[in-house]
Amino acid sequence: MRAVLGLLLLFALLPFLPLGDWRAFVLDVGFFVQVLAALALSWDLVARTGQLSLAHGAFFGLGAYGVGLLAPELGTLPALLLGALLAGLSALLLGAVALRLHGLYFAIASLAFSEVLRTLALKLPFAGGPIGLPVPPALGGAWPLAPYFLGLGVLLLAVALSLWAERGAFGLAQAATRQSEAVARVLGVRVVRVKLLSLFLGSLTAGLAGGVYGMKTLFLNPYDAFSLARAVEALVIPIFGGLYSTLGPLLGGVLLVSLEQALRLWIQEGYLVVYGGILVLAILFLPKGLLGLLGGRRG
Amino acid sequence: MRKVWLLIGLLGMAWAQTQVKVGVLLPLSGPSSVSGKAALNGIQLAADEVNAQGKVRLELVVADDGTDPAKAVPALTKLLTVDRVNVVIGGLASGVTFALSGTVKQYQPLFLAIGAASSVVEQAFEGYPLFFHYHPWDYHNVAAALQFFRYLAQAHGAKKVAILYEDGPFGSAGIKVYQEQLKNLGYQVQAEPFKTGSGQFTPVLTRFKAFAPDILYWIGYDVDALPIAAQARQVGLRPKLIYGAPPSWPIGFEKNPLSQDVAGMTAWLPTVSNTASRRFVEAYRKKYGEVTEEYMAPMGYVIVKSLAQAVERAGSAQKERIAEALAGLRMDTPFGPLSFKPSDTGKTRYQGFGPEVWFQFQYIQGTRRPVFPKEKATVPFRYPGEYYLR
Repeated sequence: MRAVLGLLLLFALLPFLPLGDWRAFVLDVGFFVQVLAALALSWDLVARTGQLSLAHGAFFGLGAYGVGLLAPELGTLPALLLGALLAGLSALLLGAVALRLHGLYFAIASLAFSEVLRTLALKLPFAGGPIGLPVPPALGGAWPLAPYFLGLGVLLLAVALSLWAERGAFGLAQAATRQSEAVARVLGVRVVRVKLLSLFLGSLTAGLAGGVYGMKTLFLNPYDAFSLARAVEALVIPIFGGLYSTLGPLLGGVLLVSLEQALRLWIQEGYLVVYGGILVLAILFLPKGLLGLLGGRRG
Repeated sequence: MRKVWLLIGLLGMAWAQTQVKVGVLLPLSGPSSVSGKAALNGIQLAADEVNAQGKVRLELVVADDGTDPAKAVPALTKLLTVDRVNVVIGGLASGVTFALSGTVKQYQPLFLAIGAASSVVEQAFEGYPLFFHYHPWDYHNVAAALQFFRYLAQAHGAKKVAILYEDGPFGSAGIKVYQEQLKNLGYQVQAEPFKTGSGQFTPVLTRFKAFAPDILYWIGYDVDALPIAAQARQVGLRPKLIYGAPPSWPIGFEKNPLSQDVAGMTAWLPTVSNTASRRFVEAYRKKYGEVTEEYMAPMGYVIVKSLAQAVERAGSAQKERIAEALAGLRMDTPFGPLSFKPSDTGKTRYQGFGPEVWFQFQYIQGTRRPVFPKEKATVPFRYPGEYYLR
């Protein structure tokens, strides 16, 4: 808990630290760390029920598209909230149909869901079709730090939801569902409801993260916004950091995103080989992720 | 005494030399990395030549944008705030360039865009006074292709076009408008989407057979070139022209006999015979030991050469003065003459090349040869082409 609070405090104080020439760069990297860590936490929230979601790239994209379409009319915050709600509602739709499926079957259904959304974004003319959709900057671009603090807000929400789930009866229901659905049912856990609520909360957070991301990158196209690569990123970070926890995805996000930026700066060409090598070593020798190294618990 | 004079001479040269630190932000990894690396080769070659001449000294600070906005935005921020560059060469992929527009407007560098053909980028940089876009816009590309199709209809009596387009943003963007424009030229058009890289074209090509097209026009990626050329022959489609529009052609495609008579459009080939192009090819071969067919290499070369001329004219490293000199620059390049004028839509002030740089080529006996327009052709256009199994 202290480590989680420490990391959040670091993000909150980062804009006020004397970073000299590096300030703007560090804040840019910090923004993407926050958004991707929030996405990873949102994925982990679903993974805690034993479901492997490959739809998180799609929830992320839906949130971003929601903001792109609504922000010109409604402004930054209402567009962000409605974009997240759009992602949440789509998750309920997916969950109602597919959450009775287990493990890999659900993963395949969630992947198909992403493809459907991407095709819709490609075909719907009001969404910009294949050309893509410009997104207005946060708060009309009046305050350059706005995306950073919006990212921080999303991360705080993701951490709060994760801690709530981790520490309460809901977390126990999630763990029971993950370990054995049959036993969980016998124990009185309403398995489908727990999975559906996890997916809903996870998708809301992913949608918010996508919306803030869109306001920073200012442009969306269906292939990037709904990409499988984003869904894979959402699951690699918690696996690297440590699954079924709040600290794991948070720490994983901070280290992986910063590491990639650092390697890109100092190694440049061929940095992906080193980055990939580090990931392989982590999977081989740290099966519990970084939390295993720190002696943390695993659910 | 001679040494003293030499020292004084060197000091004098250094004093007279204008030094500029230039940020280079290109996709050196990710989907656009082939073009990005080619562009970087051209940029480094030109910077070496400029620095050897001694009037201007360009210090390049190279960064990889990863063809990803999440990587490109921090990389540009670092160039502008940590490395403190005032001039940036970059913007190859359109989506990434759009993402950079926020950072560019915040820090106001002189931004020299090498690619980013999509006109949405024109919107993003509308009104930004230090934006120089060298590459033609997408509407220029369409205009150049339509000019060729008009010629095919008028000179060769082509009447039917079968279009195979990949269902992603590259192939699908503007496809309906494109079909309409071809119909306006008097063509009958049948269009079918495909998934790039699938390699399965037989069913759709068989459907096209009943349509009996004069031209099989495919808009996709390099991986689709060979399967389409092979399977069109397998199903016995026999169009009079196979015309492809990928962003880059597969390496070694020209060595495959199936490439014979396949046509496409490009802005430059090493066989282009103008003086600037020949000089570039020679210098490139000397430095890298090979010849490139990627037109992004001469594009990068041209940007650095024009920047160096502008710096020399401005006699200053100040970005506004360089921009002023660049705006009035005229120079010969491997693509033809370069000068800047407002874009056709009026949204941006400095547009370098237009539709005139594009030309059509045909794969003929293992090499790409310019065939249209006539003033650029080095060999006669082969129509109808020979697209049957030998």
